[in-house]
Amino acid sequence: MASAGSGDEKAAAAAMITLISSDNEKFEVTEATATLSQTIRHMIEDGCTDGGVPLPNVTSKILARVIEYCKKHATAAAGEEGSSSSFSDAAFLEVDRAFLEELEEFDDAFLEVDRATLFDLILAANYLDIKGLLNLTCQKVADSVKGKTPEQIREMYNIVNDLTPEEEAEIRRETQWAFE
Amino acid sequence: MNFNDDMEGLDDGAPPLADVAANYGALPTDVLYDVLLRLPAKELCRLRLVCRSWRSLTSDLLFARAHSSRHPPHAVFLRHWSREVHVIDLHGSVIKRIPIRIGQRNWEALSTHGDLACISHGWGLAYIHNLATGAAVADIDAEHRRKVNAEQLDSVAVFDMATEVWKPTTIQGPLSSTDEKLKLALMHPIGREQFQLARLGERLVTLYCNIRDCLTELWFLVDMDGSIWTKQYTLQGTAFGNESILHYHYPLAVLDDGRVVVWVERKGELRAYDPRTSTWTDLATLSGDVVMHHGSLLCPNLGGVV
Repeated sequence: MASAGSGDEKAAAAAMITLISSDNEKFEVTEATATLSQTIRHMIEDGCTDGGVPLPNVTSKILARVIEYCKKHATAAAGEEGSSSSFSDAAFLEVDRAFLEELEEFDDAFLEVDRATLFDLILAANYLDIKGLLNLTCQKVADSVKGKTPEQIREMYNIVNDLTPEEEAEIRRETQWAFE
Repeated sequence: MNFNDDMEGLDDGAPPLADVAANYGALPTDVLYDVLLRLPAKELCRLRLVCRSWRSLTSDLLFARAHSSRHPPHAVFLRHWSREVHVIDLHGSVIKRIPIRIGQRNWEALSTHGDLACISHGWGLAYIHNLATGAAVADIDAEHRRKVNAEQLDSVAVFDMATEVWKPTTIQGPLSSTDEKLKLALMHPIGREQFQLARLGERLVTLYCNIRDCLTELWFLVDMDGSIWTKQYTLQGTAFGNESILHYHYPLAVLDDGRVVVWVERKGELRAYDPRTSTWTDLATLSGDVVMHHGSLLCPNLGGVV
């Protein structure tokens, strides 16, 4: 009994990965959660995760959010896999839909952040190569750009207008139809 | 998944470390690329006014290609009564008006290639117009038209664009390779009208109207040299009752969700057919002529012609 228990603990411990943020905070996550990041997946495959994975590009504040995202999505993925064998088709579809709805709600709430955090999440998702998170955050930025004037966008994203008046006139002439 | 493929065209790799720490300003180019790819073409043309880097990124050929492949296709609409040409989305909304002046009333869109559209002006005249500028760039010489008209039902003449000559042999259409019984079912007194060529994406398609069974079949050319075709879609023509089949179901595009967008010429209706459920949905009613737009609104002459 005792030995079986310690064996389980050992297996569970083996499947944990330590992630270390730029400000040296340590986060223990399951392998299933960590491998949503292709970057970390490759590190695990190469066996370079002993002693923790240093992530010098990601602060603890952002890493905590990224892990929150990965945990939720890893759980959902595991839940879907489990459910496919134990439910009938109709029940499976029902569970599937419930999962998707819950995930969507989670994603919407997850994106309720200020612009600086959103940008940091994008950079982290890009660096860690987490496709779902990158997709989600990029879409959020794209939605925020939609319908805005060039001036508004420059203001939102601190972009300096380096176009000369002649170039601006040229753009308007070339694509006059887009301004109608 | 898609954006990752799209990004292969860029060579930026991971963002430099300096960009990553406390970044409240610019996104790395590959991320900005991914964000901008999600916006519609008209919006992007407007946003070229933001700054130089947005302008150059959205004017880039690779960007324009990636953009076309991830957004729903556009169509070209010839509006008869006002003699205007519009680029429209597949719900009939106007995206771009093109100033083409045409004298005749009975004009007709024949085909498009890249930014070029072949438009018949009636009385046997056809011009090639550049949709980016609206200008007529060439007329079709009568010799070619005679050659096309002389071809037999169910065989396709091939014009080699590289050498600018007609190939000596024609491609046999799918009708010739089907069995006799089916051939009889497909044959009908309205003659050659029930066989027509279309282009779906990069594929050559022939369509047959099977009047007896109220079907339109779409056969895709698989192998040009062997004249091999496969039947990929059968459109059930029940949408308008029995007379339906006499209204041409001209396929324009296959959408990402698997639906086939069809232009029903004589009804002036743009409709979508879902092959999984055999059901039709109305997209738009348009008085004029509709063909697909194969050019890019971001990058004129992307088609590589002119």
